[in-house]
Amino acid sequence: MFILFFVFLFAQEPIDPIPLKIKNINKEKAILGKILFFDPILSKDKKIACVSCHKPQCGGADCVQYSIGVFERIDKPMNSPTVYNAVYNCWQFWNGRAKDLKEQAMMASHDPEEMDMDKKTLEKRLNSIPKYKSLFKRVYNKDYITDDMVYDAIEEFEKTLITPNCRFDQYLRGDKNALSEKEKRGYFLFKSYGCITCHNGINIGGNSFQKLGVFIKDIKIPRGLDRYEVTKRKEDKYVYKVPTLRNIALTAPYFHNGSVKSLKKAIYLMGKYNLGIDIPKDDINYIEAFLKTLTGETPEILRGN
Amino acid sequence: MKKLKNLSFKIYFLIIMGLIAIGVIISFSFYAKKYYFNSYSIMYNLNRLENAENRLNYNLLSSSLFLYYNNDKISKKINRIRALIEELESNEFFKSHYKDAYKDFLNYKKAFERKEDLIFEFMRYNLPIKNSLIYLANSLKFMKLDSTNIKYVMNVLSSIFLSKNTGDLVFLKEIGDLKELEKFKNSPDEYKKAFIRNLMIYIKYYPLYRKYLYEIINSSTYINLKSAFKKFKTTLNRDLELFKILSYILIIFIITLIGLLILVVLRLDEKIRDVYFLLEHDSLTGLKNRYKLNKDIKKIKTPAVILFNIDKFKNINDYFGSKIGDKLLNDVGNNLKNFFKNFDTSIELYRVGADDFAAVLDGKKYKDNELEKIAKKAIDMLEGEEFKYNKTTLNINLSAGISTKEPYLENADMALKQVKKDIKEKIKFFKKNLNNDIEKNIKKSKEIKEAIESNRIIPYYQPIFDKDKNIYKYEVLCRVIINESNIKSIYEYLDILKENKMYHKITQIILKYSLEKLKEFKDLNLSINLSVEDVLNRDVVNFIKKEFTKQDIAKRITFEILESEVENYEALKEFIKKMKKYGIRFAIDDFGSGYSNFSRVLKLDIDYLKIDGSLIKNIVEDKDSQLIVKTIISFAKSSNKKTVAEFVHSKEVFEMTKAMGVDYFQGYYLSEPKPNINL
Repeated sequence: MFILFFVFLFAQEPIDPIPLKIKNINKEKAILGKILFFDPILSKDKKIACVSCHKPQCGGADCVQYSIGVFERIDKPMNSPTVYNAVYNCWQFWNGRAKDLKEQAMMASHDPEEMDMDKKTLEKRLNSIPKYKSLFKRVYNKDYITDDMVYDAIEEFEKTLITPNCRFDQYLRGDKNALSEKEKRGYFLFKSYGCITCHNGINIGGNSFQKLGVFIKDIKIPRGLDRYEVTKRKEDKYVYKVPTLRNIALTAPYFHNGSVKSLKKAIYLMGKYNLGIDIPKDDINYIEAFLKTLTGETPEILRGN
Repeated sequence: MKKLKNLSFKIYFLIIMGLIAIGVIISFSFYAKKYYFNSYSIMYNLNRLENAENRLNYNLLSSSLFLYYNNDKISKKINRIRALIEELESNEFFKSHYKDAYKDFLNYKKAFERKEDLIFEFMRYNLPIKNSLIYLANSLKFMKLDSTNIKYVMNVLSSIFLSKNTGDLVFLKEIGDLKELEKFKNSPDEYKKAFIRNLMIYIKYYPLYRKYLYEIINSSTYINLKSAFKKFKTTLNRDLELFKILSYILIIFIITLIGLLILVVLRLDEKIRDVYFLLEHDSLTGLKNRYKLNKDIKKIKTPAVILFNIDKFKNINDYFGSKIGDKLLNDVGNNLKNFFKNFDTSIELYRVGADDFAAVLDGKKYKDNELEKIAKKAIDMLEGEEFKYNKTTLNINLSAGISTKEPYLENADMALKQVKKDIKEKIKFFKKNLNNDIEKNIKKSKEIKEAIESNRIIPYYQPIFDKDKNIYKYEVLCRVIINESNIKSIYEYLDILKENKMYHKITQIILKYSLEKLKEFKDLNLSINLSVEDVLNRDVVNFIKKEFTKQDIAKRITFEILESEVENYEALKEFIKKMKKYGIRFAIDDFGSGYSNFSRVLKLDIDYLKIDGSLIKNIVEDKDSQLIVKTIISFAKSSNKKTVAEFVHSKEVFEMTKAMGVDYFQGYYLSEPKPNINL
């Protein structure tokens, strides 16, 4: 019986490496998207850009618990998830309310606590700037810039924001020396504790909705915008999209509300909340060492900036 | 004409039908292409959807089977199915054309949305269960167990294993009943506590996991999709059947069209042949016509043309009607044709005019005198023939003109005209000097015009005698003074005068001279020639009415009218009737030549019959002439008319005609015409 279990255990690696090169990208469009991504003109007070909450130096996320939106509004109660490798998430936002990056960009733009823009203002602003007019004309061959084009270009840019070739990916591709023995043991523990049942796939997460605190009856953390806000089913309270663990060392603080500052604490709490066990300190260290091997290269399009 | 119109209507009809056929084919193929493209894309997407559904179910089962599983596979499939659904849902053709299938497809979409929720739900139980399983399995390594504990743990694990692999909830009930549970809960061993927590989660989640898995596997998506697919195929098959029938109809239509086209072309060909036949043939006799002759004659290097003409055919037509005339023409034509057929098959016969038949021969084969012989033979054959139509029996005379020079037909015609002028000959060969006739005619026309203008038209008088050789009256003849030594008879100018409509001028001159003489000699009786043309001329008639109706003049006048010239019979009859009231008498000139019609002469109320010279000339020897003259005399006597013999050129003739009972005589034997009257 146990042998059977262990056969399942090592049957296959349920994590895929990130491709080294991105395919099917319209480069001009991606560059236009990049310009837009960095331009605060997309927000109502012209102070907030996409990049404000998805900083390259913070692994594509924010380094704080709550992001600051337009007019210095605090974007409570959710922590900004990383934009890196977001293209591999099956849904966007913590509760998966956007089906793709384009929709996510639009929703973020319209959110009064994020950019607080509307279609009319956005189009009016962009169409009054000759630089954008000529850039959009080149990409879309249209004289009038629509909001749809803006989100489309941003999506194209975000598709390029992948962080390939982390040491763990090298390991997956066959380089057994890419990980130290400590890190390899971390990966083994990651699997044997069962972390991998939720954190799998190319993004090591991002492909299912799970309840926070399977083993906790009365969780103290505020719910925030959970799956319930989308489905309105009582079973979906405290249900969130499983976050990616790629670049996890760079994207503190952790959890949906950014309430956990250290990675070790996050590993410990996940064991307690969702595995029903207290993971020993040593094992936490190993797992942390493994998670740190998931930091990949800066996306090519951002290099040299 | 109507038939041709009909035919051209049919052609237009075919063109329109053809255009319609082309239009139908183009729009049909256009529609079929669109139909095929759209249907193919729908079918392809339905297929992909079905495959994705199967893959999704496979992935879900795999995820429930394997503890470690890449859940990307599931979420990616979900997203893929969503995209396919969106694509199919927005396919207008699918929506409008495959209504039944689309309805089922929408049901499928609803079912899938439900299934998607179920999958999310399922995953929320599936993954924690796996974690618990992993922990429960691993915990054996960590927990400090005594012999009773081991047995308990093993029981738990075996129940869990069995429940997971059988799907039977019975095994879970056993676990909950065990008392050892409480001991584990309160144990200081954290691993034992964790063991219980995970076991509780397993017991709590497993029924839900199982429920959702079955619900997903038995979800109605598959049935709905199958049904949509089936209905799509039903519609598709129905459409294909319709397409098949449509294309059969189209093919039949096109074949019919082609058939009709062939029919019309054949008809047209027939018509063209008819037209060609009519173009080259005479409809009355079926002989080839003048057009064909002109065409054919070019093919012969040295052609010869014999042109036949029925003498006085016009009279036959007038007397017996055009029906008999037509029959006669037909018979003459066919007799001639047969004659030549028997003679030489290379000779072709054509009808080139009303009563003109032309035979075209090869001039190399026949010498000129042989041509004349052939012509004579043909004429003899036809003149010996009796043509019988009901009660009418006709004998005909023919003349022929022959030419071997270009223009053949025209030259032959000229030769024929020459024959007509000359009573003695029946056949004439075209000679070059005949060509001079035109010049001669011009010259003559000039001569006579000048003669009229310079008063060189003069009367001659030839006495007419009774049986005792007493002068009974004079016939006024007309002479033309060419110069002092050359005085010609008007005879040779008659044709030109008639052609130029100048004849009445001569008559007027003669009438004036006659009137002078009548005034000069109170006992003088004159016989003056009047043509039918004169009778119709207003000037002449007015002059006669004014000058010749006076009592002492009228009774001394006789007008001689040529019977064969009569065309407007009624007008002549009217004229005679009017003039006779004043006492003017009338004679028929040259009676017995041609087709004298006794009954018509009777109706004209004539006083004298002047027997034709040709009958008198040879009367002494010719029995036929004698018979005819006898008949004329007896006819005259019984209808109370006097007879006059012309051309009395000898004593024998005079005596003979006298003996036969002719009343008056005229001719060189008795007196030639003189410029003056000696009373």
